Amino acid sequence: MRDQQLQDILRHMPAGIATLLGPELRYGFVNAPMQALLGGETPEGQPFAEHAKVIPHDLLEVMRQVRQSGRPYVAKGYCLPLAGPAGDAPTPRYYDLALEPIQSENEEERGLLLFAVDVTAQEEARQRAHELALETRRLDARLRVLTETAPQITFTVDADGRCEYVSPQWYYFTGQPPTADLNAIWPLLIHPDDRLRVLYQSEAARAAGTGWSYEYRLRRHDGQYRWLLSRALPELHGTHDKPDKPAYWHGAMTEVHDQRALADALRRGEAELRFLADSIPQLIWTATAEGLIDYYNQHTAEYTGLTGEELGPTGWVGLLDPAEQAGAARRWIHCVATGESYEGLFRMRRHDGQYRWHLIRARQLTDERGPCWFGACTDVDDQHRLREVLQTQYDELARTNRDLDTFVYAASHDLKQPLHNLRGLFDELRRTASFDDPEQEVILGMVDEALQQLDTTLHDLAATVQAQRQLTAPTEPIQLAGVTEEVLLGLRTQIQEAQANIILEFEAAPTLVYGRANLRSVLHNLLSNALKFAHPERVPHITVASHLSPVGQPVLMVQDNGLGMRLKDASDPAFQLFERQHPQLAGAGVGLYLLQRIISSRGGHLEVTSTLGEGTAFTVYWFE
Amino acid sequence: MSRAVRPLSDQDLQELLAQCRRDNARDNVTGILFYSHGNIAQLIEGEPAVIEALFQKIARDGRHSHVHKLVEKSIKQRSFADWSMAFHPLESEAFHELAGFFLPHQVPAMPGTLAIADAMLVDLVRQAVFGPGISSQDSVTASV
Ligand SMILES: Cc1cc2nc3c(=O)[nH]c(=O)nc-3n(C[C@H](O)[C@H](O)[C@H](O)COP(=O)(O)O)c2cc1C
Repeated sequence: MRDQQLQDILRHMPAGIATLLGPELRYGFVNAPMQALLGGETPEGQPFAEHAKVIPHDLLEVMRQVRQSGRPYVAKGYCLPLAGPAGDAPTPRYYDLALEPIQSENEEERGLLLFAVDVTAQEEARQRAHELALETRRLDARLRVLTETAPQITFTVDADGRCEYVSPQWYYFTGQPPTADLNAIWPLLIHPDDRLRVLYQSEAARAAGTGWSYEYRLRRHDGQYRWLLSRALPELHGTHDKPDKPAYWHGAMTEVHDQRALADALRRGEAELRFLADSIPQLIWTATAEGLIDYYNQHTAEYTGLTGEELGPTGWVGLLDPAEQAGAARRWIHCVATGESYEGLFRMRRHDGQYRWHLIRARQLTDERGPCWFGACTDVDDQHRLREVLQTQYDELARTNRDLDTFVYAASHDLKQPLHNLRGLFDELRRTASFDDPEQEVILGMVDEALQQLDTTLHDLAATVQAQRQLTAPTEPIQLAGVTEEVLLGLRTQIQEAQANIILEFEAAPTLVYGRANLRSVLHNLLSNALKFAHPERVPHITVASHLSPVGQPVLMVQDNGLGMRLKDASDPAFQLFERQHPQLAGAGVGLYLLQRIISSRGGHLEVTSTLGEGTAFTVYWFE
Repeated sequence: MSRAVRPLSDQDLQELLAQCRRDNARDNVTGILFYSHGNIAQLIEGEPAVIEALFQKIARDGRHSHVHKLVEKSIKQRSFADWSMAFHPLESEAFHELAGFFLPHQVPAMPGTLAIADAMLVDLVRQAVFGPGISSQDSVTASV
């Protein structure tokens, strides 16, 4: 081969080639790639060391030794900082360098052949692989620490369900030795009631290539079975829509025992409440925040004959008396909007069509789950009926009472005429007949007195009934002085007969708001009493005075210096109809009874103090 | 009742109104739909088979979730003349003229054919959708 041809080939090799000759390693042949490597000019005959500043010292030393010893040397992946274009920072590049000695007798021609193949790409790949390996190891370590410190048991099983890996927590939890045969022991630690289900579910998931999530009880080191949640996902490779069949499942088990116990307690609590609600013989229901009923108790079905389904969220309103439905519905909508409690008395239809009175009540409960409603309908029909019966009886009694009054009034009125006739006849008899026996005179006097007494009684009975009727009469402000004068005018005969001294003191409370006729009756009775029971041995002194009590209520006092009387209890005179204090004196005893009726009916009471032989004081507290 | 998956825009509502008016008229379905801030409630009347199929379709509609049926009952006569919708559009101008559209407080009175229990249900549901205070011309009073 011609020298020139050889040089051409060498020049175009994709590797750097150079000959360095003589003790100073001068440039001989240098092809283009080597020129580029060395950084440009490589004038023949120039010493390599002076020119190529890029060549590190150790390489230069090795070159000299190769030339001297005649033993070739190969350096793999040797780093040479290659000067970048236009003075950029040198970038490291990697070469496989072969140093081949060139033998010659001539000292100047002895040298070496430098052969450099750029392996930067391979070297970089190698380094990356190395870094990746380091990173992988780091991640591995991190994963291990995480899986072994998390409060969960982590595991990996293969497609046959054989356990490939389980974190140390499994051993802590179960108390099994590290030498335990996982696949044999694990199923035995599952609670017998859960075992079949767990094995079946996990196998089904593995067969389907899906993950799983189920709970079961596993025996802890202390022999207690604890609830665990086991979740696992298959490790999927291949494309998203065409995945390979998974070979491994990775998962974790978390202890959920306490949550479960809590949930069980809640469920039990709810079941108990429901049981309670179902046992109560009342209509009980709950409603959502929107006011839609979502539960009716057992008794509701029994009473209405309708299921909760048939009643629906608002069906209750249809059970009410049709006339009351609209009002009840409006009230309920309002309560739902405002949160106000609901209450109402309604007639509610029973399954047999009978309407019974119910008290419907509902209250809103607001907790962290938001508002809801609790309602109850209580059957108050019996109470209602009882009240109606009582009302009827009361009305009847009141009517009877009125009839009785009317009868008494009519009787006393009707008896007046015969009495009048009797007196006329008796007077006529006295005038025309003559009696020889002196005893006859006494008897005549007694007949006269009896007729007088009968007249008073009839008069008082009529007055009582009259006053009774006037109790409902309207009240008006009345001047006490004026009314008292009128009453005294009516009593003037008695006053003159007794020569009584009467003092009126109304300055402290001159007016009283009262029924006029009633006031007149009260004054008349008190005054005529005082006159009637005057002491025969002294001039009657009667004081009529009004004043205001400490709480500002009007009080009337009538005081005399008469016979006085025997009292059972001053604050409760308990005057009984026809009870006579002084049987030797005329009077029916109706008067005090009448007084008390009037005063207590208008909201007041009567008090009396008395000393036998000294006098009596009546105090009228008009209002309490 | 149900919840919209995300708030429905004026345009969404208008499209729903147009589609439902068209299809419901074709299928002889009447009733009313309330919408506000993602809350939805609807009452529909029609042939049992039609209603059953429509409910299944609506329940599967991806625009809303938490669909639940409050009551289902057979009725002797309808209470609604056609199908309409009530809601608060952002631009109410655009809706004034639309057939079958009402502002919430303009919903006409519930007819007397509706039992009070059912009228009350409609009122409670409307209150749940629009909030208290929207008293329309109906309310249970009017149906007495
Ligand atoms: C809240 C709500 C109510 C709807 N009400 C009706 C309705 O009353 N009538 C109706 O035809 N479609 C109604 N739709 C729409 C249906 O779900 C469905 O999208 C529509 O009927 C078109 O169905 P198609 O494409 O199978 O014809 C409603 C959708 C939503 C979200």
